[in-house]
Amino acid sequence: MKQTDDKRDMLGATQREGTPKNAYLFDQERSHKWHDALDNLESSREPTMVALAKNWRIDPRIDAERERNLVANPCFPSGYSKRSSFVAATTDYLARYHCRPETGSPPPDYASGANKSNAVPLNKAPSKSCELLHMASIKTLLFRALKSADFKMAMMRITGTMSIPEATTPGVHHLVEVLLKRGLGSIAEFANALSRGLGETEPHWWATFATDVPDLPNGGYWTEAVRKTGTAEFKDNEWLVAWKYTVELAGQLYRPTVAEAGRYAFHFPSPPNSLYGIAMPLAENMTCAREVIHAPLKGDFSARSCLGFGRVGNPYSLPPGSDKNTRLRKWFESRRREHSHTLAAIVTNQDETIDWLNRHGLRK
Amino acid sequence: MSKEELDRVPIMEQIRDTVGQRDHGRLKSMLYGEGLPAMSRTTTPVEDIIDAVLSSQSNNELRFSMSALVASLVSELDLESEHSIDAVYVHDLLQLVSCLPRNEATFAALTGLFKQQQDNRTSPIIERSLLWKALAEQQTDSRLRDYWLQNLTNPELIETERGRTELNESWRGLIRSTPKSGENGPDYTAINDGLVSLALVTAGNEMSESCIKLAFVELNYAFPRDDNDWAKHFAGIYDDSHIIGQAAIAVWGRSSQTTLEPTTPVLSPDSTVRLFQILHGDRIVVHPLYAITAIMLAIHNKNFAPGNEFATGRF
Repeated sequence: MKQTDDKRDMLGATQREGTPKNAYLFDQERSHKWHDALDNLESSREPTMVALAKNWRIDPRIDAERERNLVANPCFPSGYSKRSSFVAATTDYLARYHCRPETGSPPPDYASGANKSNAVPLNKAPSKSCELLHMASIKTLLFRALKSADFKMAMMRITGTMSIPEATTPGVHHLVEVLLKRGLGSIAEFANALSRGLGETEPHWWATFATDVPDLPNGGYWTEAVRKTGTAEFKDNEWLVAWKYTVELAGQLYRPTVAEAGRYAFHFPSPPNSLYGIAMPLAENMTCAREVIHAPLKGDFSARSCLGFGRVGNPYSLPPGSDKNTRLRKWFESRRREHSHTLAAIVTNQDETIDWLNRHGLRK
Repeated sequence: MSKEELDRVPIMEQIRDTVGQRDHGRLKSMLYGEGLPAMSRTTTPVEDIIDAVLSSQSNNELRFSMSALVASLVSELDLESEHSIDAVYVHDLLQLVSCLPRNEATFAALTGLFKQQQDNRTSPIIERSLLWKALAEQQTDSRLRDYWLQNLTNPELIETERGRTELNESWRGLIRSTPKSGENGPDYTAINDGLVSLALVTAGNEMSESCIKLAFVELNYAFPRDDNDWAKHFAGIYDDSHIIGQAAIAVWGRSSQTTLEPTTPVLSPDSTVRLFQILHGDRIVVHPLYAITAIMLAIHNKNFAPGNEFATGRF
C-alpha cells in the first residue's frame, strides 16, 4: 500500500463518520467523499463505466493542487452520495472548464496554474521541429461549425457549389469527394473555415508524436494510426481530417489526465513521472504512441498544417459472443492488462511503474 | 451490424426506454451523459443523442415521441431563476429541439422562453441564434413572421460573425414560417420582403452577396423547386444589374424566360415603412443604389397608404 500523503488528506479527503472506508483515488488510498459515486460507476453493467471509474482511482497525474481544484469545482459531487453521477460531473466539467480560449480569463483548466505539474516543462520540451499529429471526425466538427453562417458561406465558396454540406455520413462522404478533387488548397481552406466556425470554445486537441504512427496518405485508410492512438470513438468507415504540425505551432504541451479525458473509457492514465501520456492501443501487439494535449490550432495555423482526409476501418474488434456488454468487458480487461505489461516494459522509471501497476492489480 | 450501429445500441436502448416511459427527468439526465456509454472524448452527450435519433436505427415515431417529451423540459426552464438555470444544459436542449420534428407544445414552450429572454435583458443566458434556430425549426404557425422580418432590417447584424448567423437564422425562420393563407407553397410576399430587407441592410458590406446567395440556398432547401422555376421567379422581379438578380443567377443560373415586369409585389407596405425608418436613421450608410431601388420599388407598389411615412413626407 502506498503511504497516504498527509497534505492530501487535508484537501477534501475527509474521513466520513461511521464509514471508515478506504479506497484509491488518484493513486492514493484514503477515504474520500467521491468513493460512493465511483463505486456506483464500478458496479454498473456498462463496461465503459467500470473502466472510467478505475481510471479515476489509479491516475497518479492529479497532484494535491489539481485535486483541490477539482474537489472545489461545482460540477463534481460535493458530498457522499451513491446517486451523484460521476459521468455527469466529468461531462459537465469538460464543457464548462475546458472549452475556453487558452489565453482567456479564466483559461481552460488544463492550462491553469492548478495543472502546472502536467505542463511539459520548457527544459524537457521536445525540439521545436518535432511534429505532432491530431485526427478528428469530420462529421463531428461539421455538425458544430454549421451553426455559423460564415462557415456555411465559406463552404459554398470552397466547394464551388451552391449547397451547404450536411453533417451526415453521406453528406461527409460527398464533401470529402468534392474537396479531394479540388486538391490540397481547398482542403487547407476547409481547415481554416472549420477552425473559425468552431470558435473560441473549441476543446483542446489530443495529439500524438507523428513519428509514433505510420504516415497518413491523403484519401487513404488510417486505421492503424487510429488504433495506435487509442481513438475508439471513430466509427467504422468514418472520414477523418488530420493535422500535422511542429511543436512550436502547438505551443504549450500538457500531459493529459483523466480530468481532460471526460466521458472516455478508452483512455489509460500514464505512469507516475512519465513526461507524456501513453495511449492504450486498440489492438494487440501494437507499439505505443505518446500523447499530449494542447490548445487547438486556429486560422492560418490550422490551414497550413492540415494533412488531408482519411478513412478508418473498424477501430477495434470485440471478442466473439452474444452479449455486447460481456464482449466489451472482456475486451477492456485484456486490453488494459496487455497495456499494463507493455508499460512496465517500456518506461524508464520501471520500478515505480511496476509498483503502480501492481498496486492496482493491473498486471494479473 | 456494423461497429457504428453496434456503438449506438446502448444509446438507442436508453432513448427507447426513456421515450417509452415518457420520463423527461431521465432525458434531462441523459443530456448530462448519464446512462450513455463512456465512448467519446470529443462528442458531447447531446451530439451522441442527436446522432442516434437521426440515424437509421431510429424511426419517425420515436422522433415525434421524443419531440413531445422535450416540450416539458423546455417549458420548465425559468430564466428568472438564476440558480436553477444551467446555460450548458439549455444550450444542449435547444440543439436537440432543433433536430426534432415540430410539436405545437414545444413551439409554445419555446415562445414562452423567447419572451422570458426578451424580458430578462440582464442575463443573456441563451445564445440568441440558437434560440432563433430552435424557434425557426419548431414553428407551427406564422406568429413570428413579423419578428423575423424585423430582425432582417437590423443593420447591426451584418457587422459581426454572430450577427450574420442571427440574420441567417431569421431568414430561415421567415421562410419556414407557415404561410398565412394555409397554402402549401412559400409565402412570396414575405420572401420578397425579407430578401429586399436583407439586400438593404447588408448593402456596402463585403459579405452582402454571400449572404444573399446563402439565403437563396436555404430557400431552395425549404421549398425545393426546379432551378429554372426559381430563376424565372426572380428574373421576373430583378434584372441582373441588381444584387438580388446577380445572386439569383449565381445560384440558379440565368432563366430561360426573363421579363422585367414584376410578377409579385416586391415590398409590402409594412416592410417599406420599416426600411425607410432605417434609411432615414443615422445608424446605417446605405449604398445610394439600394436607397433608390427601395424608393422605386415602393413607388412601383403604390405604397402611399395614409399614415405611412412615405405618404406624409416625414422622411
